[in-house]
Parts: sequence; structure tokens; C-alpha cells
Amino acid sequence: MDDQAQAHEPAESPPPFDLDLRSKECDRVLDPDAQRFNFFLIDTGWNEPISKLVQKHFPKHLHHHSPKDQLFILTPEQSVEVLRQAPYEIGHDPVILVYDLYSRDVGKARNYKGFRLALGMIRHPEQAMARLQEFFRFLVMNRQSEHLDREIRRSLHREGFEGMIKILHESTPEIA
Amino acid sequence: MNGEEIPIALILVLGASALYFGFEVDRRRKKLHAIFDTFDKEESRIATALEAMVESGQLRPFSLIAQS
Repeated sequence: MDDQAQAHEPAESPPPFDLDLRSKECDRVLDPDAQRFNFFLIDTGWNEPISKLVQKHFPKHLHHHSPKDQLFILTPEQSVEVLRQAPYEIGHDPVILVYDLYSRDVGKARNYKGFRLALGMIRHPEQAMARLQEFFRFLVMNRQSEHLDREIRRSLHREGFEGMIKILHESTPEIA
Repeated sequence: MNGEEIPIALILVLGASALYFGFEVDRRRKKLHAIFDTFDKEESRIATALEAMVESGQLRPFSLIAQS
């Protein structure tokens, strides 16, 4: 496209672009300043208090903590359309999907890798906020991690007696 | 007789409590997995739909600067 044609392109409708969410093989140390993730916020709006909280805080905090990464916010209509592909997630939104662009594991490269945070399963906004804060803490601390899936499993399994107590404490009142 | 029954009852109660505790921890661990976990096959299906939305121009990257 020449410069003249670009000048006539309306500013509010940039051309669509290709997006490949599959992970790519990475055999070097990850650059902390490069893009690593694509974030998607899926929210039909059914869980209004949590939805308001996420829409207000998530984009702002993501911009502060992870400025190189891309965020896509789906409209309620787009969210409904996407959830048709994954009906088991209906009622769990707002859901944040995080697609990881890199994989150290050659076998897993070219697959979709990442993780999700289903905040719609939480009843109280304060508990959702605490989860969101924990999510950002995890992201920032593990941004350069070569095996992010392992870190997630480690943080979830919470082994030992102390881990069991933590599970009982964390899941008590918040989950619908 | 009574002296033998009490330890057995105690063992049964303690065993049942341990079993309940184990099941409860497992149940809550599963709930935490439902909130925060790595992807499975379903998220791959969502990914295809999301890629298509972006490629068609229906979905664009969010910009905080553009919003303010």
C-alpha cells in the first residue's frame, strides 16, 4: 500500500491483521522486554459486580505490569459467540485467557499454550480482586520462566500439610 | 471388652475424619483448578475462533491510550 492510500485510510478502522496464537519454539533466554503473551478478556456481563471490577482494573494493571503484551477485549456478543465453542465455560466468565507465545519444549511448540483465570466463578468482588492481584504477581514473577506450565502446576498443587491448609483457606467462601 | 472397643471406635472416627479431610482437600483443589489452570483442548478450539475474529477485523487490540 503506498503512502497516499495509507493517508486516506480512516484512523479508526486500521486493517485487520493475522494473529497466530500457537507457541513458537524458543531456544534462547527470553527477553524480559519483549512480548510474551496475548491476553483475551471474555465477558458476557452476567456476573455484574465481578465484570465491573475486571473491566475497570484489568486493562489498567495489565498496561502497567505487562506493557509489551497485547490485550483483546471481547464485547458481550463476541463473548457469547466464543463461549459457544466451549459451553463448559458458560457461567465462568469473566474469563482471562493468556496465550503463551514461546515454548522451550520442541514437542509442544506449535500447540496452543497458556492458562486461564475464570473470575466469574468467584462470588465476592473483594475475593476476585485478591485473585487478580495474585494473578499479576504470578505473571510478573514468572514472566521469564521457561516452563510456565510447571510453575502453574506447582502453585496449584500446594503439596504437604501446609499446602492443604492453604487450599482449605483459599477456597472456603469465594467460589460459587 | 469396653477397653478394647474404645480404641477401635477412636480409630474409626480418626480414620473417617482423615478420609473426609482428604476428600475435602481434593474437592477444593479441583475448584481452584477450575478458576486458574493451564489450557486443555477446549481452549485450543476457542483460540481458533479468536484468531478468526482478529483476522476478520471484528476484534482489535485494546489500547488504554485510545480509551482515555
